Parts: sequence; C-alpha cells; structure tokens
Amino acid sequence: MNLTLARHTFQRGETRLSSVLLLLLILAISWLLWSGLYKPLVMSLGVLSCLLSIYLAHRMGFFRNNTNLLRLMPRLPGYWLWLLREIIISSLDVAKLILKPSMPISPTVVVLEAEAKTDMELSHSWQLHYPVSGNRHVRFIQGESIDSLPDQ
Amino acid sequence: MIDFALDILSWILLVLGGACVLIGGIGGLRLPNFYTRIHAASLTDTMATILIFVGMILQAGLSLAAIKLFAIMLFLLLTGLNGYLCVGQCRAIIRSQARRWKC
Repeated sequence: MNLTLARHTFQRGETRLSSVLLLLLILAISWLLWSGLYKPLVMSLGVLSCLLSIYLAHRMGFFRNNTNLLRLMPRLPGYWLWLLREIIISSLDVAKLILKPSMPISPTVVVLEAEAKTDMELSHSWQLHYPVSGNRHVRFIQGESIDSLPDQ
Repeated sequence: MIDFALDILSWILLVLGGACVLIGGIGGLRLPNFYTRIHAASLTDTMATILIFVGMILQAGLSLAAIKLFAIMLFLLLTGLNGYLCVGQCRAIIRSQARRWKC
C-alpha cells in the first residue's frame, strides 16, 4: 500500500479536548484506586505518569483514530456480562468433551471474513472471541487462508 | 451468618476454579493436536481465572484489595487470551509458509 494513503486511512479525525480530559479522569481514578497511598510524593508521581500517558496516547494517535472509543465505555459492563455468559457456555462444553472417555471431537479449521471496520474493533473482538469460541471450533487467522487442518 | 455464607460461596468458587485448572491440564495431555490443546489451555485462562479471582474478591470483602484483584483479573484475561491468539496465528502462518515452500 502507498505510504501516504496508509497515513490518510489510519490518522483520521481530530483530537477533541473532551476525550483528553475523559481519559485523564479515568487514569487519575485508576491511579488513586490502585495505589491507595495519599502521600504528596506518590500523588505527584501519579500526576506525572497520568500526563505522560496522555502525551504518549496523543503521540500514538489514540485520540484521532478512536474518537468514539471512550464514549462506548458505559456499554462495557453489558458487553462483559454477555462475554461471561459465552465463556461459561463454552467452558462447560470444552470441559465435558475433555472429561468424556471417548472424546467425540472432529477438529476443523474454518475461514471467516471479518466484518470489523476499525483496528480497535478488529483486535478487540479477535482477542476476546478467539478462545471463547471454543465450542464452535472456529479460528480467526489474519490474511492467510488455511485450506486444510494444519496439524497431523 | 452472611459472613459464613460468603465464605462458603467463595470456597465453592475457588474449588471450581481449581477444578477448571485441573481439567485444562488433563485436556492439554489428552487432546490430539495444537489447536485443540489451545482450547483446553483457554479453559484454564478464562473460566479458572474468573472463578478463582471472584472467590478471592469475596474473601477480600469491600476494600481496595478487591478492586486491585478485579483489575488483575481483567489484565490477566486480556493479556492471556492475546497470547493464545499470537501463538495460534504464528503457528498457522508458519505452517502455511512451510507448505508453500515445500519444506
């Protein structure tokens, strides 16, 4: 791919001040909760590291590329609950298969088209759904089509 | 009374988590190939992690420790599953390249 084209597709959108402040708030809250120490030295280190994280996120293009990402956070708990349900279903299925003496499995590799549009959507769903989809024996492999079972 | 019930519940969760780790280990030995073994390993990494950490959170009660445990659980889930994804993809790509080059 042409380099300028790549730059255009990956760095779109504007940095919004509200996104920066929201991320700063989230970082500050997590620092306060996870340190549990409220001495001046620790607090000032916390402020420094929050600001450094914001700067690094800005340099990585986080605010330009994922403008709506932080606004999706209220929907995260519902997603986690759904994911928990799926994890339980697939875990029970896999555990049953493993413990059955005959072990009735027929491993297959399936090629799927990914429907995700943005990088974040893609990586997130791959990361989380890949091991969870154990009951369906589905595998996501980027860019390569696997025509037969690679093993054996 | 409530303390006792919470204790019982957390121990049930911890034992179930331990059982998940054990089943994952058995699966790693019994299942026939790499991709199916990943499923067994992911049982250890998803279900067992969740059960053991929820059990420990119940033991910790309402405190900063509980929040930290929750955070550790989230990071373990994210990084562990990512690791499986990377290993699986690397393996598949190496295999397909090997077939292409006939080696």
